[in-house]
Amino acid sequence: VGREDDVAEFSAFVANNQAKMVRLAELLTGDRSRAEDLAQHGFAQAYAAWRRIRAGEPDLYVRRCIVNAHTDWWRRRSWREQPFALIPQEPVISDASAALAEREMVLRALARLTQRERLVLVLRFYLDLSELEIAAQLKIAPGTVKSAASRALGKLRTDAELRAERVS
Amino acid sequence: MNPAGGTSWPSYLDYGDEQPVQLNMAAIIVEGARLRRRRRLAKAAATALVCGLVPAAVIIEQAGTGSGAPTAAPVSALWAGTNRLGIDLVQSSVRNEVSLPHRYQQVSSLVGDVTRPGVWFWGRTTSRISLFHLDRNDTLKTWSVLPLSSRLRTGSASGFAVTAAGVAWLGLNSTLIRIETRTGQVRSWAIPAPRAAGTARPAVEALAASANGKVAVAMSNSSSIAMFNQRTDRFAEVRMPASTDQPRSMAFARDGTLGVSFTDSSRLGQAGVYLLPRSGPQFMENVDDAIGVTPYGANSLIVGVAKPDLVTTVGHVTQLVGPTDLIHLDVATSAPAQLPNNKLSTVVGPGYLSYPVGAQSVTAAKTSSVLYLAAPNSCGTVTVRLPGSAATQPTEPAPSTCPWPFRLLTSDSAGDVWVVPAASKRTVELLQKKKEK
Repeated sequence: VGREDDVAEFSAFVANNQAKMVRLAELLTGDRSRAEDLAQHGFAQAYAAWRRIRAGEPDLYVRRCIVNAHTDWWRRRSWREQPFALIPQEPVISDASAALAEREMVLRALARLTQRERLVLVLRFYLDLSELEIAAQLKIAPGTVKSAASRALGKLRTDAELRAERVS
Repeated sequence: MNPAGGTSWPSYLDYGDEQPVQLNMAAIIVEGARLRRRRRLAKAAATALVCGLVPAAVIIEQAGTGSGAPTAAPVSALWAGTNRLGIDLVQSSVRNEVSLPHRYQQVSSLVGDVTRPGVWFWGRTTSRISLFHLDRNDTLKTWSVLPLSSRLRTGSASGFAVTAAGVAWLGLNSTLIRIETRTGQVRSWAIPAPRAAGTARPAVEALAASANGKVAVAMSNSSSIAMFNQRTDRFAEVRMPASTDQPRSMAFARDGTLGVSFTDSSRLGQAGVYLLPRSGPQFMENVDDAIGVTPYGANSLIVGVAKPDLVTTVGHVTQLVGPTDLIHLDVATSAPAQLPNNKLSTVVGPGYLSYPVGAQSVTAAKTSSVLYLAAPNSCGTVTVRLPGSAATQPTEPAPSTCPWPFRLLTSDSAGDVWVVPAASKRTVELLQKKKEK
């Protein structure tokens, strides 16, 4: 298989999976721009190993890269941009649609969880990984996964903003 | 929101996400290919280490000897001392590095911090500009200008300068931006089009800022420079000596004199420097090369890269004696950076060259010069081409190598050398090197 075939096949893979991966990364980070960076990083890693992973489950490889990169990114705080000043030069046109508000609300609720709770919640319920798989991926005990997932769900059930939305 | 039917994602966390996703496929492929090459190199190096082999990372190629075949030389022997080049070779390595996220375009300007060890640079996404400061402890600070107005989104020409007081000046297209890093205040001004500009829309070609607050901007396709007065918020146009003189680069000497290097568009190869003292008449001197201007000493400027001249602010021009046969014009495209002990550094094919300013002969210059070799990178092997007398001397790099290892190079107040590697254009690296003699 030539390099051009590789690129064509890989491009099709990216096209089919990019939305899924960006949304996964957005749930992990709460930030669309960073999510796109993470997804792009995951796909670049996959391209580097494409010949090895293409026959297996490349989407799992990308997913693992995204989760690992997110964990690394979080630990290396110096990498995070820290805007010193935000001086708008143009009015920002806000999208006040209900969908955007709902999305922001969900992301805010996830952001109120701890880093580990959020990670475990997304892997457990969004990706439907088993507790054992999550434990292996995050290198923590299965019991820790179980308790973190339970705690995260409990927090979200009692989250005031989400409750208010459900009531309305 | 939940992509997999039947998963147990709580329904109260579902939300409709209609926002389209379109990742940059070209950037993914380029980054992936870079990662793949890096992994192969790491694997090869590990194998060589395990097997006790010396990796032939450096190939010494003697041009004009007739054989034409490159001769491999043991790396350790070359790096240890003087070789046939007549100058010391030292292997450099990366001490710290920072890469901007994918959404940023390439780093196009690098300015050494003149007050402490560190480097200034800026990055641009489709919607914003960010100013960055990176120090040798890997502390990265960011100042953002949000959002970009439409007139700044296109174009690539730019100028960048940061004063000792921490005021950053950025010229982008035809806008001058001032970022006061201590307070975060950002202001911008539209630079008036020079009167002699042609039909093409002028853009910032070069920018310089002095310690006492003067700012000068040169626009493309013009024969004048704009001096910005911060007190009145006005630009004053200063014409070059002739209407065919086009400014290329500029810098303020430490005594406040502005030096503007220029080429004469009507005479190929004709270059000069226009000196504008703080007081007194302006005048010009001829130089060999107008690519870059660097302040040097108390009252001098280094003008040029391949054939640098030392120009005092009273108009004395002295051609520098150095191993200039190692500096190729197609590689050295930015002004030399100043190093401690009256030395300059500039990018050359295999890495960067540190050479003295005041040498009396080529031999003496070579004795004090050091060629810092870039670490083998994703571009492949590092090739050193010896200057030869034969006319058939090859100048084209091998297809597997980068034409040069670094796109940008600068130095800071401590003499540390910072680069943007050619292989990774959103990365800024601090190079580790041995102490010089």
